[in-house]
Amino acid sequence: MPEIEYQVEMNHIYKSFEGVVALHDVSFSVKPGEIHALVGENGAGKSTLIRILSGALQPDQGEIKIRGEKVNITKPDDGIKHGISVIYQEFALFPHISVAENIFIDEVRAYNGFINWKDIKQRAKAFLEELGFGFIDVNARVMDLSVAYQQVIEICKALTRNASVLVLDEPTAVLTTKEVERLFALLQNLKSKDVAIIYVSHRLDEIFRITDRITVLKDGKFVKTLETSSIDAHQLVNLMIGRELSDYFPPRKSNIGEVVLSVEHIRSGRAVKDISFNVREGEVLGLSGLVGAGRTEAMRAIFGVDKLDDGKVTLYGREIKIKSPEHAYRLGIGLLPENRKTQGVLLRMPILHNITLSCLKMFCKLGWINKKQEYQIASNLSKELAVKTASLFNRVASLSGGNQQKVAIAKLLASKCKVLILDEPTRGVDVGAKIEIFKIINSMVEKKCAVIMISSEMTEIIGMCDRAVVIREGRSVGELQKNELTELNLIKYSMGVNDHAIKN
Amino acid sequence: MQSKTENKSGERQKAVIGIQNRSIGSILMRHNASFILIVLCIVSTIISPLFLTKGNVFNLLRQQSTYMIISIGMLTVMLTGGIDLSVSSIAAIGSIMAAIPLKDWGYDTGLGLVSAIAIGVGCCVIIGAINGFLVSYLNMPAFIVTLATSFSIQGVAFILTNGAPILLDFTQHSSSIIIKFGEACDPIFGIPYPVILAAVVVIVFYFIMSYTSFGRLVTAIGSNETAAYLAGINVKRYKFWVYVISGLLSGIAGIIILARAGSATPLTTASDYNLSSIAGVVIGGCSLTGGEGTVGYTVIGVLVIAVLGNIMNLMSLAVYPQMMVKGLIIVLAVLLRSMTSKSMAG
Repeated sequence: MPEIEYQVEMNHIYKSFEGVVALHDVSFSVKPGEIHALVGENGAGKSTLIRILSGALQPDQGEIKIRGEKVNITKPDDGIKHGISVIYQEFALFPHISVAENIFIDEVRAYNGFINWKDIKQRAKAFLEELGFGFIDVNARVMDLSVAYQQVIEICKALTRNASVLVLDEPTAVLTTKEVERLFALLQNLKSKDVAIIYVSHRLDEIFRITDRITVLKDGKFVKTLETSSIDAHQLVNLMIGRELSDYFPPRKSNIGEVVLSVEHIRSGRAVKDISFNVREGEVLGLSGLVGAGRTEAMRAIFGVDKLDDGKVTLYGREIKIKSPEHAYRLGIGLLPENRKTQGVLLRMPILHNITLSCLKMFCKLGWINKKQEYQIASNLSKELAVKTASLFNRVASLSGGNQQKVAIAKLLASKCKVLILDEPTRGVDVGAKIEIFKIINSMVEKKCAVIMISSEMTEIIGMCDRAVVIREGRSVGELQKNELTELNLIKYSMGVNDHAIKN
Repeated sequence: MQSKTENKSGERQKAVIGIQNRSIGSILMRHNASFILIVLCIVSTIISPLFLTKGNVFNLLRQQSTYMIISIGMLTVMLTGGIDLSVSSIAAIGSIMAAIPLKDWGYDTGLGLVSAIAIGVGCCVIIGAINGFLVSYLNMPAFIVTLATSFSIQGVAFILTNGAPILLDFTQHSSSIIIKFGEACDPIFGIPYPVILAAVVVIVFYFIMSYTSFGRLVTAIGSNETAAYLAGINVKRYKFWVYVISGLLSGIAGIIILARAGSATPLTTASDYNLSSIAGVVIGGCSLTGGEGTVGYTVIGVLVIAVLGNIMNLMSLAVYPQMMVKGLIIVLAVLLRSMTSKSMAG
């Protein structure tokens, strides 16, 4: 077989979603036997690129070459056929069946009458032994294994498909330190077998430890590919950010007053370990951090959706225990959920009914809705927020993403909440609508509301917030005042890079 | 995940392109139950000259009064995305529990009659509350819960009656009133009393569903339960009450059944109220996942099934072939509904 330089090449990939550019002329290649890191901020386009490689998405333009030959990957099966296996954070395993069956699921699925269990178990055992995990019982149910071993099973499954390119999406996010070591040993093992490994991670220390080369993406654009040994953490961070603060944040005049809501050392479920912060009247508090750091979960716990296991929440100095979202609304706390379509709006209902959903009581007498008053309130709000629609009786589904989000925000405003929790308020809306949403947020704080804004876009946190708290792995790890709000600081805290690594 | 999003955006694009040629089609779809009803009425008139006679129409409406009332209860449940498969059994228990005081406990005054009805309907409300509690507060699937309670109640109905019908005593004061209610017509327009009662229920629920916060929020919950919950709505409370309402209305229907037959039989548990009311609601445009549907269209949906049954009666089709045809037509109607709702989805 002739020597090939690259196992996989992606050349000049373009991809946009409904007019929003996700990837713009990105090129990227991985050598066999190399661990290649793919880094960038949230939304830089890493996931999109990987999904294109796996066949889950189609590029608008560009080509993919496997071992120097141009290939067409139009569906995930094609990706697997060409030896590309992606291991996502959510494993694609069948929890109720055995390890051996999971590893050879393709054979089990394609069975033609009989399965040679003995053979499958033996081969599964051989596979695991080869990777140094011979102690995993092939008869065990996958659900009984720890997350780390489930990941090993995923990798084994990929290898049965003769994977020559293995993509790991944040593989260590769910692992303990010890498990991470095991994974790294496994990756070194695979590397020596000439598997090309694409490693997506936010953890800089890991990237410097195990990868050979690094490709940096920023805002959907290719920045640079370089040898890991040729750069340090500070330079890498600069490559990842290094962007002018956009000037699309409208100015606001607000007087910051007393503390309204204060949260101390809350703990909830597995995602929220120890989070504290407070928010004042007329202030926008940012909650920054990586996706999955526990910000949304913390808000859910405060809002009464999930159980609060420990900690104290006080509103205007009085301790409160919120039992349900209904209770939260009664106390004047409103939430704009993270996922607009499934949580934020009722797509099949009219705009009017969406806006007044949370505040029906205000114009109801004995349950009877005063429709005139209802229409008045909704129509004033929709004018104020500039919701673009011909009629308030149209379904929300007929609106664009940005306008749907405005309807969801109008719902909070209609119910006259004093504390507003906005979870990714600008996700999936275009730039124009973003600016309008920022203006709405400004007018809210000018009316003395306290706003908590979760955002994964650092520019947004920097441009909009008076103060920000950074959450990392379920803990609040730092508070940054307005003058300290820089991307460098936010990244430093959210990724846990120590000062030493980042100093000039 | 991402590929799904992409597919959806593709569909949306198609939907946007299809907007122009959808207008006539969408009117037809939105009002398909009305069109079906009109066509059925025309066909029926052609087939049988008896169809449009006052006697037949009143008879049809009288027969349908129970279906109508039960369907309104079913609508409230289905709007939340639930289902109630115990309505037949609840109606049976309602009639039996009203008949027992009248027959066996000697309730033979006017007040006795009121108490008997209260006992009958009250039992139904309690069963509805049990359904509601299990579905809403204990988060159990409505399908299983109501099927199971239905089965239990069926057993209770047979135990209470020893399997035989309870015949009301015509000579008794209270029984004679209720039987008269089932048979007679009002003195002014000659409309049967059960039809008037059904009309009152329909009108009351028309206002409840379109003018009160209850109606609005029930629809909102069916439209998107998570979003409604996060918007501060006490989802469990509303999901509980719709089953209570379904129980209440089934109980009222049970009283009408008792009045019309002059007897209460456990065989009512095995009647077609479940299927017919679900079919009526769905033909009337209620989505099986909830969030869509109105009282007005439910009335039309019920009438579609009613006219269908009536014309087969007028053609003197035997009962079993009737069942066969009715079942097939319901499947067709629901199929049509699910096809149109798919193409309507934005």
